[in-house]
Amino acid sequence: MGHPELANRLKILRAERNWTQAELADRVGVSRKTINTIERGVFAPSAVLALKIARIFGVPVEEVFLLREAGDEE
Amino acid sequence: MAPQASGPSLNDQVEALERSRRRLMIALVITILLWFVPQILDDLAPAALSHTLRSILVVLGMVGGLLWMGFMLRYNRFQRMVRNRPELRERLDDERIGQLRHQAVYRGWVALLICVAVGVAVAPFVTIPDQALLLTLLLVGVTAPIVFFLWLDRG
Repeated sequence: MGHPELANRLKILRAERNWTQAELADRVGVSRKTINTIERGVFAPSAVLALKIARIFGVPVEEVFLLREAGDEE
Repeated sequence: MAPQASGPSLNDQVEALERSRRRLMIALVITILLWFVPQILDDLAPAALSHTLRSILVVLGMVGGLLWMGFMLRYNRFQRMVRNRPELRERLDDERIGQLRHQAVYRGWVALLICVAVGVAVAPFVTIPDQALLLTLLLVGVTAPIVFFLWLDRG
């Protein structure tokens, strides 16, 4: 069995609120590039940053970030 | 916390500063190469270089050194400016950048170790002047972390 990957629903949650990456970055207090790399799964945020993002969206952290087994499709 | 209503947004400012920092780092790498490489070449093969070529290398090295000091001053001014603007620093040096810095320093250290290992391996067969060896190690030690950072943060 492969290592699980950290997937996220950032793009969907942003779209639901009509927020751009830059707007979300402003709210979270990071650069737009950081939001972009999290969204693409290039950068895995710390627990602190993940919780901060979830708080901004007003949802539990598991609704933003989830573990996906290698090969699984959402 | 909420995005600003008017004027250039914080994100626009951060992105402009990110581009400036990147340009400064590239300039630092280029100018230190211009400063050190002529000296290393001169130390490695002084007899193979004509008087004119050696003079050109000396001038190139001096120009590189002066430019590097100028860019270093600009980089320090940039860092001071960012330090005085906490709202910009928080975004410009966020968690991702911190992680990239650690990775870049680690990879730079590995690159330095590889250079030392290569130096030790070829030492029985080739005579490398001490000055050239030290300058090369210094050059790799300074430039490798910057180059790795630029590569990791390429977009």
